[in-house]
Amino acid sequence: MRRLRQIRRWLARPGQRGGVGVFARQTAASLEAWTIVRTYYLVHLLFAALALRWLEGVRDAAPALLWPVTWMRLVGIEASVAAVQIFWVTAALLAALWPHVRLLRALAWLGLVEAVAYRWSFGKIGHSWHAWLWVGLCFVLLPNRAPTAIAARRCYRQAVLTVVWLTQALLLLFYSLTGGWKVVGAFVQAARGEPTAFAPDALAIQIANRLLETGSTSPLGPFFVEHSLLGWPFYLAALYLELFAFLVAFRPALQRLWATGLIAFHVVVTLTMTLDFTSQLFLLALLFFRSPFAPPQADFLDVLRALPLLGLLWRRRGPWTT
Amino acid sequence: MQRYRRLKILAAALLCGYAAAALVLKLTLRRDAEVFPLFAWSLFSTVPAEDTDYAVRILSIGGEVLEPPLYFQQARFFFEGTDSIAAFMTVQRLGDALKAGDAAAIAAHRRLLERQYLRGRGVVRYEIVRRTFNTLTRWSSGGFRSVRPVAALSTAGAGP
Repeated sequence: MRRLRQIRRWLARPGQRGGVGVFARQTAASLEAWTIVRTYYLVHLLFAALALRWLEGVRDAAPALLWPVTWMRLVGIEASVAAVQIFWVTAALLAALWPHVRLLRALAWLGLVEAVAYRWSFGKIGHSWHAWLWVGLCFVLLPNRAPTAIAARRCYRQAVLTVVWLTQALLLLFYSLTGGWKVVGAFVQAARGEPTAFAPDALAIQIANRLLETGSTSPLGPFFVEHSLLGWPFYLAALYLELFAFLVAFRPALQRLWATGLIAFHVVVTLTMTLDFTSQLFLLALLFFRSPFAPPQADFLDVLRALPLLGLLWRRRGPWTT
Repeated sequence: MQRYRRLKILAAALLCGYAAAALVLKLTLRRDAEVFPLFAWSLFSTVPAEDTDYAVRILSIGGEVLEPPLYFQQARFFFEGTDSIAAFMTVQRLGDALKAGDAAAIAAHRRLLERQYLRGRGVVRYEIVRRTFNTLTRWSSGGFRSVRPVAALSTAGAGP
């Protein structure tokens, strides 16, 4: 446990501990965290209801079923998909009504896994639901206690905060992995003498390639392909946001700023490359705009000093914490 | 309190385990790097300035010869899902399987392609072609450096 604490403090360096202030106002923070959980399950219900349209075309579908839904082959695709939809909507409804019951959270998660596995059984696993799915799995770990019981005992309050922090860290880890692979790819391509992710036309090439793959177009894609230099700063900023995202789990002063940046990134990606990450966009807003760990009022200099790498420019001019 | 300590260790293990799994997936699996729902999150990791892909070039539909042949992405008048990335990836996997001579994988990817994406128009004769291109040149002029047929197939079941 001591080693974990040391790692956490090192990542939060210099100065500020990751959750400073949260312990002092643990009750209020755990209530905020519980609000996040409740909202997650209300929106989960909305997504489950909207997913009913996935049934369209199922009669003639010939999927290459992923492992969680291989049983559908035995039962018949049409009946199985209908059963999964009914199961998911019912479980999501019950979890939205009683999110403190672990069994209901687990069933809602199971319904989601089955529905998403079926949806991605047509030759390509999409990733727009992965974060939602992993956050749902983390929420299964929440205490199996009524909100009043959670509010009454310190260990339960702390457990709720820990699980919500875990969902934040996991989501941010996904972004850091994406950014990390881009940097690794850039080194590999630089060694081969190829254009890299740092090249001025990197974004233009990515957009053009994606739109050519699908033979589609997008509202802003052609513009950024034709004016590649305009997209360059955006691409570098996106790379920075992605690469260092995981550190933000340990630097709460940055959470709202990072979430805003990543949401803007997703909006631009949707408008240029037609990639839809609606559920992930909502997760960013849910987990970070009302984060129980973020300071109620972030001082501008504190935010600047907490920035990975760039924060070094301001750190020398004064103490990191106020 | 003991339960809470276990939860903290579990949280740390989940984060470290996921990162380790992502590394293993990326290093061991070539295309996509994932075993649902584990994913390495390798998205747009390289810049494909010079690229190679496989494509479906449709020669005839329901006995009617197309002159010139149409790429699947251009055949939206005939088929649904021509703008689907899943269809595109199915063709890439079929191309990889043809290159590797993996009969089981060829059969599986071909079944998905023909039953899901080339359905509803009678017998479709098509080729799998391997194309090399400069992405921005292709974007502006539509041109390829080379287009090489890999296999001639038909939804009626003629083998490669």
